[in-house]
Amino acid sequence: MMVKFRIKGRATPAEDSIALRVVVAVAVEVAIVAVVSQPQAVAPLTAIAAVILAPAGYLFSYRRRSRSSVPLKVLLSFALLAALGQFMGSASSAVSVDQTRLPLATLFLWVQVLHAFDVPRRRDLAFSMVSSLILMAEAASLSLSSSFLVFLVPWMALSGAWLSLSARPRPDQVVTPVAIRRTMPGAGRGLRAPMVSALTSSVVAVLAASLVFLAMPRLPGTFVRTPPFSLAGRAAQLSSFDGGVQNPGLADPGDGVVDFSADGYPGFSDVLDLRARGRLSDELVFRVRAPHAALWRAEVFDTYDGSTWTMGDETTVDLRATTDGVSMQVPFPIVKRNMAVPDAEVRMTQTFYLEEPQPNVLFGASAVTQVYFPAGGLKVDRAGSIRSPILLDEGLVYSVDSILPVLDTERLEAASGEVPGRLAPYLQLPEGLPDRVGALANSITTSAGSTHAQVLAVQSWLRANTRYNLDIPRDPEGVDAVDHFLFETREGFCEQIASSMAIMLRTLGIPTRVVTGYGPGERNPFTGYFEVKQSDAHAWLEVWYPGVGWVQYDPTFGVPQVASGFGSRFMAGPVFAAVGRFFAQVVPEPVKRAIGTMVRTVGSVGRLALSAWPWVVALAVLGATVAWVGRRRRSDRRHEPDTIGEAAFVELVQALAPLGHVRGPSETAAEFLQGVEADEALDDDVVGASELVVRTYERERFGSPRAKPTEAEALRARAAAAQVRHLVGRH
Amino acid sequence: MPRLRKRAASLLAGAILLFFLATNVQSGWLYVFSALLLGALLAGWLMPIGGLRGLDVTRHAPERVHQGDGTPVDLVVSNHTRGTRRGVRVRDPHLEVADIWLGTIRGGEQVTVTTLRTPPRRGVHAGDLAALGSNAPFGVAERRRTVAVDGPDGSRGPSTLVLPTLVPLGPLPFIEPSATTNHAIHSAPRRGHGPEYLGIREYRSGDSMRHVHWPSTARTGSVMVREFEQEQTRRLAVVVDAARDDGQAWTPLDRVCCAAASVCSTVLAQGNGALLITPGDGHGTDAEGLSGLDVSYRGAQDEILERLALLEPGGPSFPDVVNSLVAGPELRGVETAVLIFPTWRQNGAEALPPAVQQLAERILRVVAVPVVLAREDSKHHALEAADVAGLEQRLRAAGAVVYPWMPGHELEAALASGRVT
Repeated sequence: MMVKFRIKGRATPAEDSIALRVVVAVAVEVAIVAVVSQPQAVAPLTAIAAVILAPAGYLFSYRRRSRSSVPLKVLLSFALLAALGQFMGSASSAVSVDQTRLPLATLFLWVQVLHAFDVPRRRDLAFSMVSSLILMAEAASLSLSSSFLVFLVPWMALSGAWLSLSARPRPDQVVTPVAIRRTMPGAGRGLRAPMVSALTSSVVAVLAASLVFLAMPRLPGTFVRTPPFSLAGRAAQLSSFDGGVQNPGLADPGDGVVDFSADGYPGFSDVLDLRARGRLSDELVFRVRAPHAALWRAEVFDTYDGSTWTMGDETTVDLRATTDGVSMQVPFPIVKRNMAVPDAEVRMTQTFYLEEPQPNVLFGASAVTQVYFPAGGLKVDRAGSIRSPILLDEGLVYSVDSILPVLDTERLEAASGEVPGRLAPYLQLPEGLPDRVGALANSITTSAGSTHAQVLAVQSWLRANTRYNLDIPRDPEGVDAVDHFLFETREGFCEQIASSMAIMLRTLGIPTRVVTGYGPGERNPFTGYFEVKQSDAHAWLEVWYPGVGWVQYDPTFGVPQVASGFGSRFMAGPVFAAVGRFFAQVVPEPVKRAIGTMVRTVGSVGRLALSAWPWVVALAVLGATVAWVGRRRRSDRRHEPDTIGEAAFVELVQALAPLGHVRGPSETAAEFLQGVEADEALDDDVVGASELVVRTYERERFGSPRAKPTEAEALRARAAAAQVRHLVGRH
Repeated sequence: MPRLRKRAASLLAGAILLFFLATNVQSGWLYVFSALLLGALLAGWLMPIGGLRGLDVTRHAPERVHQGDGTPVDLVVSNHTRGTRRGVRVRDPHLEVADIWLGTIRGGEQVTVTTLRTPPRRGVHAGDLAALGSNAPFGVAERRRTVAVDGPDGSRGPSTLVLPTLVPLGPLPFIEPSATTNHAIHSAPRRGHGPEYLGIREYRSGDSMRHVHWPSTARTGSVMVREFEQEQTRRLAVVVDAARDDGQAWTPLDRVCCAAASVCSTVLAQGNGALLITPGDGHGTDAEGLSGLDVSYRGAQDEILERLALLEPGGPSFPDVVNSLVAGPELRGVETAVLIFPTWRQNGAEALPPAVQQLAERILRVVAVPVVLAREDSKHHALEAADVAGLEQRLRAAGAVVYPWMPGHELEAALASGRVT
């Protein structure tokens, strides 16, 4: 039995515009290249095939656009099914979401490539553009840096061109003119005007998008907790790993002090030496995907000997594998011991993408509870610092879940009580610590009535009276680093500042410990990732409150707020900060001063306006009213009808005016018609046509959407009005 | 404000979806994409606001055309501003709704577009409005503005009168050769005593003193008289049914008017007189709602066409019209009555044939030209095919010669195929 396939006639004709097809094909090609350029996104063979076949498909489809081919469609359908089958096969063996990424990207690419062979109509090309958007979104979600702009900018331009070209009506939607003639006095028809128009549109669209981007809130979503990377093929646990810290980036100690090197922060080791000097490079260390900023905590030190900090208790315990088989859990007693009991807590998943080798210490915000790491055998010390049996190499990705406590100031203010004996190590002071350190602490906190007030008083004093400076010389031999900093130099690294605060608080009987890690870094406004540099390596401290627990303080730069204000929901802050940093670097000093003056002036005017806001609002309302009334009057004076039905009514009124039917200012259309109908001198045709016009006008003006006259009905009313004019003219 | 189009909804939906994804997977680039879609939406919505400012439209169109004839119409769109107007589209309803894509019009530029339009309706087509639209740059929203259209001489609202379609017919079988046929072949009118004024000539013996033209006489010094066209014998009446109509283009009434105009034109060309009877015209309407137009002179063809062009549906039913003609004075001197009517149900076998029979008893010949309606003309008011056959039969039985004009057939062929029972 022979089966005949018959394809129903196409509702819309084939798209003949070469420009539109080229724009779509190039946009798709850009999207394909964007995807295949992402590391490990698709297999190389698939990437090459997609890059070559997609444009070939568009060329093939253009040549066959007017012919419908059932065999081709069947062939493409089978190929699509094969691609789907391959995806299902790969996805079924995946053990994580990440492992489906590659087959999914491959499937998207094949869908795009196969579809390219059958895009006869404009609607099919639109589908191609949507498909290219999906590919671009996928590539964007995989991209970690601003270099994605290389793909985004051309794709944006092509999308704009596609929107513009496809906004033109299809040839079957408009009349084909017999002739079209353009006359332009004094100039030829060049490309300048269209280019200026395209540029204007682009600028306006980008400006609008920028405003939207700045105003777009970053909401706390249902965060995907599964890490966006594969944990398969975990590295084997090192047999010699004992939980100690190894930092290959540190230079050999020349005089017994390990100094800063460009790529090595001495705070990531067993000892934090306050005599260390030097500078770190501005090289990118890692990117962090996190909903908001935090201090990325690494190590904790509790024992101070006058020049160095060490960890008194170096025992570590293993992290426990969880039931999901892909993550490890920090023992709960350790989590509980190292975090504050919060009024509210924020759970935050952070993913670290290593760009430079780092020591075998895992970074994470506040109290880390769970770790997704591509190696087993992680250990954690009593202070919650997690050690890995492998060094964190470039390209390594790991995730941690943390609990960030949100604390109420009043609760901290009320915190009081005895310090438990187990916290004695955190009150340790070196034997040779000069008394003036404690005296200074006492003098600063004389008026402080609570532990919290004492902490804030010391922090404020440090911020007001000391200066962060990386160019200070090494301390003289035999001096106490804290004493020397507080009474001699008052300038130093964050280590000196944090240590001073910790020691002063200890002299007051408040348990403290010094923490090293990285500062939040700068948030990339495009990627949303925090970009952390070597020079962001940082030291701060934690203060223990009775009944609360450990709370972070950073007397150098301050601690990012966990529950930050409404403004932190928006990207405007980081963007303006980035712009500010950029201009601070490139703009000459006199210009900056001028801009500063201008900004201050505008600010003053703004404050003045705010102080007199009722007057400002009243003036704005008055101005808007005057403008509206003026516009209304101008519109009334022009008296140009907006619709065909209204035009018919206006013509009817004008036609009947010479016969004495002058429409009064407050006369409704129906009342006007009553006057016409009552006039026995008028022909029945005039009356009938008038009724048609008035009823159509009323339906158009006041009728429900369903009752509105069709265009044909409106035109009939228009013809009736013209007939009335004709008939009246004969009289 | 510009009216949002479907594309705006697509962009919004895409932006929301991307925002949702960005929020959940914390990918900053997805926020960028979401913002881009919304930016395109905003820009595409706001930019058309001034997209039609400074544009005006002028139209050149003929004053009189025939229904169904391809008519060239020039539309001139001028940009009086310095700014470029993009994505401009004109929707001109004059004669036939025409959507014309003009694209970009630069500052100071003038675009003249000539389109061929086929007017689908008879009557006066007012041409003082056109709609301009622009959805530039992104097709997200469309700004529309109705503009007043000027004529070529700057006058407002140039209109075109669309006359009925005129079909050239051969010799009509129901018209006997006229004594004036010879004159009909030639263009010169026959001098006589009709109402049509031909000119002035010198007085001849026998001329009535009532026709002396005194101003010319005074100017020339010799007696001059007014000369008139010969009044032809009115021997044929064309009666049309305009009681109802249906549809938008080439309606049943349009076809009736086409047939009436073509018959009248042919009759006049053959040198015969004709009387066009259109109900409900209002011009000289008698008590029965009929109006008669004496068209027994050649120069009246334009008036016939104008009358038929302006004929609107309404008035008494066609059987009532025929009945009133039987009783009235309109058909005095008429030998042949040509009844042109659509096959509405109200003209069915029960209603129209009795009236036709009475008419056939009064005058020499009754010719019925039923315009047979197709099913798509009117589902509820048209006679079924079987009923049409019955009507024809009854009309022939009533003494009429029937020339049915079947759907899709040529009028000339239809009028050549009549049968006398």
